Amino acid sequence: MNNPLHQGSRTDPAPHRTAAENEETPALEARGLGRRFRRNWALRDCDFRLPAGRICALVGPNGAGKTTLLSLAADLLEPTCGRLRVFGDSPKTPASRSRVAFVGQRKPLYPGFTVEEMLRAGRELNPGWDQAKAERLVRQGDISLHAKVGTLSGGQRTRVALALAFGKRPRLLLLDEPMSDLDPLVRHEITAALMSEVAEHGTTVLMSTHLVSEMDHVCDYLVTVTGGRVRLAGEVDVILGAHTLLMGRHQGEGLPSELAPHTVVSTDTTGHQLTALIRPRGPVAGQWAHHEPSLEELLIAYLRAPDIEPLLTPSARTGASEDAA
Amino acid sequence: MTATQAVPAAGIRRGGPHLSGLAWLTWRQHRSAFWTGLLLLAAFAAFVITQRSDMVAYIEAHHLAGCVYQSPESRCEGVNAFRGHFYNLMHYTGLLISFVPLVIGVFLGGPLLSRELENGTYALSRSQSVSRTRWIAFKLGVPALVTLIGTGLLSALYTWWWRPADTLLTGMYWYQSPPFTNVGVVPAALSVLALVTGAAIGMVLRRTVAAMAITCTVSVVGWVGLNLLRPHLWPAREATAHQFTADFYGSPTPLGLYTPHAWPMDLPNKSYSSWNVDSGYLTSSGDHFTSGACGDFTEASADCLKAHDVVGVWAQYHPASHFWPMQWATTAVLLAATTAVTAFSIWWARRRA
Repeated sequence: MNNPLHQGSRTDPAPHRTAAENEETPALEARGLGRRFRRNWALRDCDFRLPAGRICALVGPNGAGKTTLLSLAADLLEPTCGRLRVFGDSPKTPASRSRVAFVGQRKPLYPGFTVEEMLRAGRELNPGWDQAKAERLVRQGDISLHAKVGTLSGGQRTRVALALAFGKRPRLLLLDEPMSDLDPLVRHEITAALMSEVAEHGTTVLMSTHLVSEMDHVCDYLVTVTGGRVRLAGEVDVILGAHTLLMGRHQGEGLPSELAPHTVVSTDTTGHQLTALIRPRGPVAGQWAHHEPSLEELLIAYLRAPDIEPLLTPSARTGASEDAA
Repeated sequence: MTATQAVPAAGIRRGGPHLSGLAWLTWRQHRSAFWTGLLLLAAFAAFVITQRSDMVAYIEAHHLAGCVYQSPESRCEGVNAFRGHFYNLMHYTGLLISFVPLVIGVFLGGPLLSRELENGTYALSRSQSVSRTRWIAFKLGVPALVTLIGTGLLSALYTWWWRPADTLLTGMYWYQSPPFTNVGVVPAALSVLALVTGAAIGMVLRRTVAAMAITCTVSVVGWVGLNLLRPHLWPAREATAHQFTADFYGSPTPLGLYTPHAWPMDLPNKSYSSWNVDSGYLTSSGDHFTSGACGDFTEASADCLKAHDVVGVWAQYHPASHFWPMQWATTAVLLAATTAVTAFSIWWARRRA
C-alpha cells in the first residue's frame, strides 16, 4: 500500500535534518494559541511545534483555522491568547519579519506593476533580497519581466508571488493554498520549482492544502486542524506508523470488544465486513487483516472524527504538552 | 525570448524622482494620480500667468491701483467696469479650487489604504521586511508631501492672481469664500487633512467605494463646519456708535443707514474690507439689544426702540488686518485635526489592521 514516492522523497532528506533537529529552535512553536473573531474562536488552545527544515502540510476542512494560523505566523493577525514563536521570536519582531515569507491564497500583487517592478518592490523592502533567484524563478515560467502583473495567468501569478517570497530568502515559508487554482500541469511545475528551492536552502515550509494526494510525496510533516484545534501533528511516517487499518468479519451491534483497549478513530461496516482505523496500544487481539493506512485514508478518518483525542509525535510536542503526556 | 535578455531591474528608469524603499513603492503605486495632479497644476500655472498679466495691465491702464469699491475718488469710477471684466473668471476658478481638497480626499485618500486591504495587497506589503509603523508612515507621508507641495503651489498661484484686485472686487473680499479658503496656507492644510481623513476611513472600512462615499460626506460636513467656525477663530473687534437722537427718532426715515446690517459700512479706515460678524442695537446702559424684538425697521419700530432705551448700534467685525491671523488660526485647527487623524491611523495600523 505504500506509495514508492513516499519512501523516496520523504526518507531521503530526513537523515541530515533529524541530526540537527533537536538542538535547533523550532521554526514554529504555538502555546495555548487562540484567536477569536468577535464571538467565534477561529483557533483555540493550539499547542504544537514545527521543527526547522520540515515541509509541513496544514490540512483541515474549510474554516478550520488554517488561514488564521498562517496569518498569525505572518504577523497579519494578533493572537487573542497564548503565543506563537517563529525561530524563538515573536512574529512581530523585525528579525521574524525578515525570516518569514508569506504567500496568501489570492496571491495578491499590484496589478499595475510590471513583473520587474514587482521584483523591485521586493528588493526595495527586503535587505537580504536575492534578485538573481527571483528572476530565475520568473524566467523558468517563461514570464516576461516587462509583462503587466494584471495580464498574467493564475499559474504565472503564483510563480511571481513565489519569486517574491523566495527572493526574500526566508527561513520559513508560509503558503496558503498555493496550488488551489492551478491546473495539474502548472501545479506539477510549481511544485517542482518550490521543491528545488527548498532543497537548496533547507527552508521550512508550512502550507495549507486540500490536495492531500498531491502533497503526499512532497510533505514530510503534517499538522491537521479541525474546529480551530490541532488534531494531528508530527512526521508523516511516524503518524502513519502509529495507526493501523483493520479489516475483518464482525457481527452484532457496536464495536468488537477486542478493539476496546485501543483508540478507535473511525469504523465503517459494509455487511459483515468491518474496517476500523485505530491507534493501537499494544497487540490487537482477534482475526484482523492489518494495513498501514494511506495519508488520505488517515486524514479522512480524522476529519470525520473531530472529537478524537489529538496525536502529537514527540517532535511536535511543546514543553507544555510533553509535561501533560 | 524577451524574458531572458531582460535588462537588470535597476537598468530601467522611467521619468520621476529617484527614490528607494517604501518611498519608491508608494510613488510607483500612485504615480498616475501624482502626475495627473502635477500636469493639471502646470496647466493652471500657465492659465494664471496669462490672466494675471491681462488684469494687471488693465489696472495700470485705468489707474485703479489702491482703489476701493464705491470709492469717492473719481479715478476709481472704473472699478465697476473692472469687476465686470474680471470677477466671474476669478470667482468661478476659486469655486473650482475649493473642490480640490474634496477631490484629493475622495480619489487619493479614500482608496489609499482601503484598496490594499480590499484586494489583499496589504498582506503582501505586510510580509516584507518593513515594520507596520514605517509602512503607514510612508504610505501616508509620500502622498501627503506631494499634496502639500501641489496644493501649496496651487494656492500660491491663486493668491498671486487675486492679490492686485483684492480691494477692487466686491464678492471677492479677503473674508469671503472664495478667496479665503483658496489663498494663503489654508488650501494645503485642508487638502492634507482631507487626504489623511480619507485614508483613515478607508483603513477602518476596508472597502474602497464605501470609503470614497463616506470621505465625500465627511469632507462636505467638515467644510460647512469650518465655515461656521471661521469667524470665531480669532477675537473680533467691537465698535459702538451712539448716534440715535431725539431728532433721529422724529425723522420720516428714522433708521436709514443705521440698520445693524449696514454697519459698519462707514467705519473709518478701509471699512469696505471689514468682515461684519454680528451687530445689533445698543441701549444707553451699553447693553446689546436684540434687534428682532422691535420688528421691521418702520416708524412703528422706532417707537419700540425708543421705548427700549436704544441709543445706538454695535458691531463685531474683523478688519482686513485679521487676514493672516485668521489664516494661521484656521490652519492650526486643520493641523490639529490632521495630527489627531494621523495618530489614530498609526495606532490602528499598529494594533488592528
